Amino acid sequence: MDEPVLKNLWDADVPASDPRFVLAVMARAEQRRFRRELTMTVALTVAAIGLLALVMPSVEFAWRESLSPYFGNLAILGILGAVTFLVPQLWPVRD
Amino acid sequence: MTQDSAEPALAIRARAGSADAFGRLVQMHQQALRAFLRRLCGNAADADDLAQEAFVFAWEHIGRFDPARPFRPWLFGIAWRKYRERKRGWLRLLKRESAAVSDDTGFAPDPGLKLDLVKATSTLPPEQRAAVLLCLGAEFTHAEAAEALALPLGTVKSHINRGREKLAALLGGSDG
Repeated sequence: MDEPVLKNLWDADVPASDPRFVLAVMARAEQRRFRRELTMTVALTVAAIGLLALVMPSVEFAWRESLSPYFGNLAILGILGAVTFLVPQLWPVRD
Repeated sequence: MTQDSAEPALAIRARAGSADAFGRLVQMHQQALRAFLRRLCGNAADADDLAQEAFVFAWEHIGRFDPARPFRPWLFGIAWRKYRERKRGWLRLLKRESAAVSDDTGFAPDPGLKLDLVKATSTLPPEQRAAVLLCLGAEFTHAEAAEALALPLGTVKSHINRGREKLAALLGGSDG
């Protein structure tokens, strides 16, 4: 059997061009991309939650130790400042 | 041919991220790739699945493609590696590492294919079979086949000569 005969035999077995095949390839690629992005998002979210859980005690401690004791005083100061500023605006002095 | 002249431009556009251009490349090469894998596997369903895998891998790694080189050997090289990976998986699964050469495909023959040719081709060792299928069945040059199969040019030429002789010997009787 010579080469052209062999080629003819193989040429007879070539599958027909199928537009659905192209769609299937693109759909599979898109599914894989979606799955990859979903995995990445979930992984990042879990990492962020983990990180937050790790640093939260330090953040809470810093808040409690440095700013929290002065919170009451700061609040009163803010209210007094607001009243001092707002009262003349709302009820101006009349001669 | 128009297709041949359009291919480099499409490959460049696909490399830049155009899904439309890649879709056209799939359209352009699907028949040849599916035919190559069907002959390699001996089973149409597995071959088509493998072809899809190869195209998806090519799309995901299109950045690695060198636009100065032809697209077809790169694509067929991916398909060949995917085929080998999957075959290794099947062989592991079936525990047939030491099986005879005629059994090394791990596929059930598809009755839709020409059985004589499939049987004769399946007797060739995998690399020899791939080289013969690319050069005689898919009209690859020896250099393109060497690139796709990651083999030296001389080895590809020798595979083709030996494969052709063996096929001729096996099919010669039934043909004449």
